[in-house]
Amino acid sequence: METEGKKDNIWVVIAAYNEEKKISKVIDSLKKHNYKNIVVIDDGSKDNTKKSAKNSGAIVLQHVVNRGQGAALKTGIEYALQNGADYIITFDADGQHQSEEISKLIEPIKKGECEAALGSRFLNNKSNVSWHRKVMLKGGAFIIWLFYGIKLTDSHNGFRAFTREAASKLDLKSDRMEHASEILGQIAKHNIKYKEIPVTITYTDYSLEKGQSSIAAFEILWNMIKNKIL
Amino acid sequence: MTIIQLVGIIFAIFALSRVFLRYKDKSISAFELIFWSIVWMGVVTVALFPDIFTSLSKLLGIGRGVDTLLYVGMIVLFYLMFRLYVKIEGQQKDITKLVREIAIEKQNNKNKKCGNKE
Repeated sequence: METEGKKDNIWVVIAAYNEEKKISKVIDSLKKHNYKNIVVIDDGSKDNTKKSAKNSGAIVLQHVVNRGQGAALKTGIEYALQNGADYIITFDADGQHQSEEISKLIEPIKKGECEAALGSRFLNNKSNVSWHRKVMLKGGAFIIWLFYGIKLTDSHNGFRAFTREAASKLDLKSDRMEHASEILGQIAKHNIKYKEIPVTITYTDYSLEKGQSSIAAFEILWNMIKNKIL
Repeated sequence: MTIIQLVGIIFAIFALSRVFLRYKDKSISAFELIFWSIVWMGVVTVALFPDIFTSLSKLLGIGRGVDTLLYVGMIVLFYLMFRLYVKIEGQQKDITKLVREIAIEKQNNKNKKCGNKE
């Protein structure tokens, strides 16, 4: 499936917090697929994330104190835009996403079919999603529809692609996890043309342990409401 | 005079002294000095003459003077909490902005030093 286009103008943005064990593998895999512009934002990690990422050859920006995934992604997107990125990918640091699937997200954008491509783990059946997680994510998708009027099959999937124009329109105020909903809110607000693309999420014990618990969803909902009011 | 009145007065005087000290070392403005002085002197007055609230309570239809004080106190506290909440949210955003600027600035400096964009 790999379409070998020019990849120099594609920037991959990864927010990483205490990911020293996985980050090198993720970067290596991206490099293997010829993505040269990899920005890792070390979000105030207490381990050697910064060193690992640097040794693997990524550009590493460091948040001196932890500010959350939303804040880190925004830093990376801003840096990528400043350095002339034409396409921006957001990618997870824990090895959940597949580098070879980036081309699937970029393809419709390059063809001009959309300005944003959002990964969905429910459009194919390759992801091993547990039932309670599925309930949460589908519930999330429903709430996003309620809040922003965007109909999606998945919610809070960190695998996305944007054109430069679309990325510069994103005005993200949420520092923490609710940024994922906020991005969708911004897509709705600015009428950014989007498309959902099937992607495969590999849940490992590691990513499950590091990732969001289902209870955190309620915290995200609360913050979404808060951001709407204040 | 009951013990609670005495405690109230002593605490209010202590708070007043803090207000003056903060004003002296210029951490609060003259307006804040006046505002907080009125608040704490009000506390002293109410502690000394609890009955002044009785007529107000009757007017509002609340049973006892002390109850009125509690209600008013709660409303004021909630309002102050809300203000603090908004302020903290604002500061959180400012911190993020600073952290972001530092991160990008540092990398830009590094790029300049190395003379490449890699």
